[in-house]
Amino acid sequence: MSGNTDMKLIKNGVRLDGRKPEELREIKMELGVLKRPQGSAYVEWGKNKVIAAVYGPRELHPKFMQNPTKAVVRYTYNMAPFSVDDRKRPGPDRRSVEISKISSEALTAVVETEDYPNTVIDVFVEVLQADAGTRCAALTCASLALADAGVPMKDMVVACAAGKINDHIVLDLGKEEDNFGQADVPVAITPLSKDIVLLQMDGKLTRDEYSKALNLAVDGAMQVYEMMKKTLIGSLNRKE
Amino acid sequence: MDVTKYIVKDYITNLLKEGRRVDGRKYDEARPIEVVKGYAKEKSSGSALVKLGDTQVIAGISVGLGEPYSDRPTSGIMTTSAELRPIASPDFELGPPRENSVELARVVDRGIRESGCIDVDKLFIEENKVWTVFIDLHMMDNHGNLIDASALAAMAALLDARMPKLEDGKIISGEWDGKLPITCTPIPLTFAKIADTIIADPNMQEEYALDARLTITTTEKEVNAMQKGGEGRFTIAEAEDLIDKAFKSAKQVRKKIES
Amino acid sequence: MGKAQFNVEERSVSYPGQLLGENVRKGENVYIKDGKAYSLMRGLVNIRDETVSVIPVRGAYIAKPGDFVTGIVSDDFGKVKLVDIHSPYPGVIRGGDDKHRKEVELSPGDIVNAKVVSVGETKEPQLASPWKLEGGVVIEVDPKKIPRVIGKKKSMINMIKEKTGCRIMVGQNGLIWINGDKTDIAVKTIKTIEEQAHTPGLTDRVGAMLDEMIKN
Repeated sequence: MSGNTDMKLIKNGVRLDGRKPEELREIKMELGVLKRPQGSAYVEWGKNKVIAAVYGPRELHPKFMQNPTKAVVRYTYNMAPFSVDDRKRPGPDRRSVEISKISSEALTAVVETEDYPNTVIDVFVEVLQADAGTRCAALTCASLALADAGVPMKDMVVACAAGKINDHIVLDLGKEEDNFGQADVPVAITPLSKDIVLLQMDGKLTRDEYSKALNLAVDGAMQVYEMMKKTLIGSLNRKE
Repeated sequence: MDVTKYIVKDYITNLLKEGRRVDGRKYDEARPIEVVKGYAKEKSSGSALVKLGDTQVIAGISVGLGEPYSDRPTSGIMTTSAELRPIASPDFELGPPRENSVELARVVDRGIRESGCIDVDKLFIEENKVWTVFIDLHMMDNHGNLIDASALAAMAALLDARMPKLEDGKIISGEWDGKLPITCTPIPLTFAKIADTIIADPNMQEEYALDARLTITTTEKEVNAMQKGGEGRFTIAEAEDLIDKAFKSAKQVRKKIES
Repeated sequence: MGKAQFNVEERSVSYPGQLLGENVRKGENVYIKDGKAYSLMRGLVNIRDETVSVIPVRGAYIAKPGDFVTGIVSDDFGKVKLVDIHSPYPGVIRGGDDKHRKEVELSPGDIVNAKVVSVGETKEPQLASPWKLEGGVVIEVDPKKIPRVIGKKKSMINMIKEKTGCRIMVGQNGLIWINGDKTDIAVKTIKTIEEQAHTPGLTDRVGAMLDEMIKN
């Protein structure tokens, strides 16, 4: 976020990529794209490409990490070196560690962890192509992968971001908007209750702007949720 | 713990004695190959997804600016790295690269480097400035023979790769100027030895059961890289015979990767 | 309780959090909140009388008393052995439990078929009456498809045993032990059943497929 207001990111209600302020990028979803994990999913969100895989519930080693009352949900977010313009060196960086932590917390809110004490449910998300909003695409994809794996959940988790560019509140920031915009608010919700399970913000927003962005992000998430439902319901026709 | 890998060896060996493989293939038959070039084309110079049977690997090529090695001041640089990430198999753990991923990266690298596949002389820009080619191998779904799947993905990605656009000595993000100069197409073939039988392209179960493996990377006329792995042994005759097999099978595979 | 009202149809595909009905009884993989029933899974909706359940397509195997499981002995702690049954919870065999049978000597690496007698609070199933299985091969099948592999009144599995002449022990946990000359035919058949589990007319098709393979 540079807040560089010289750069024109929106003109007459049209953004750099032609979108309207409240328009999502194009999204595609697919379940069961890998065979070794218990469940998997693929999401294309604008130019983002992410794949999520679920292993578990399975035994958790070392034993001291086990929780005798419930399963541990472990989320590992990783970006492939070739997923960004300037090659990223392989291995976890601090940003990935942070994203992993808050994402696993988001999923733990919905997974019926008490059904599987002493186990771990591992969620691995690989970002193969990144174009702003990867943490939201990743978490949404992970939620689909958990459903594919048959992990019991009270609700899905769906994520979407909103932000501010040239003093306008817009939905689902693209790359330049993320780089040169004034604020970014990624949100994840449980759609049944519209409870927030992930929330971050960086930049500069007034109280009213924040409220507008938050609600816009939640609206965006609910639109993505409609797609998730369709994908889940349609996922069995192809298989059996 | 994957139960079946401990049980499978006797069964596979017995089947092989009858001339059969678990998935019905012939001894020197590889699994079907699918190639998707430009899989991550928005950000990377080149990329490709390769499916070898159910095994899936994505290779990405990033081209950047760098300093040449002091003993080769006019040559570009290439480097290969591999990650056996846990997404691809319950046997893989998080952490720094261990011996399997190091070996895999180096074997893939060797075939490409030793064949002169990337024309590194054409990667010279000016004094102390050359192009650096990073080959990153990302395992996605392990059903055996990650070495071949990775090397094929790398080769397809290299053929797909574009050169970044340079303006006033700086790279213009998202713009390209021509293709990465490639001179030939080295193709790997991995053979597995189980008891006394040698088979091509081991699948997951065969890989658990193997005593030794031999990877041979060839171009049209030359052998460029070989690697024996596993604790078993090959006879000299076997090692020579496999070179002929490798040349022969590589032809078909090369067509697929080049198309 | 008010009148039962369903929001979904029998055999429709459900997703986690989907509203299934109001004032209905909860079956498997369903939870109730404020009088409403919601799905916990992606799966097929099943409605019997006023009870709604969701039959999952995938999921970890969790042992139930009465199940027969196949596994591999993974740890030897003297009197207690742990068995990997491809479940988040390993099976436990305590020596000296069964007074009526001669003790079976087990070591890590052995394949066993045993009965689940109880599942305690730690969720680890207690196994008893283990049979040691020598030779053969163990294959892995999605536990959810096991009922189809067995068939109504064991019709499917008996047909496979008869036509291939193989000894087969099916574990509810998805691990199946097969031993015999035509093991690979049995393996192929079972894998086909797994792939086509939800399609009708499977038994006849499998019978024809078996005859075809055995001829060749």
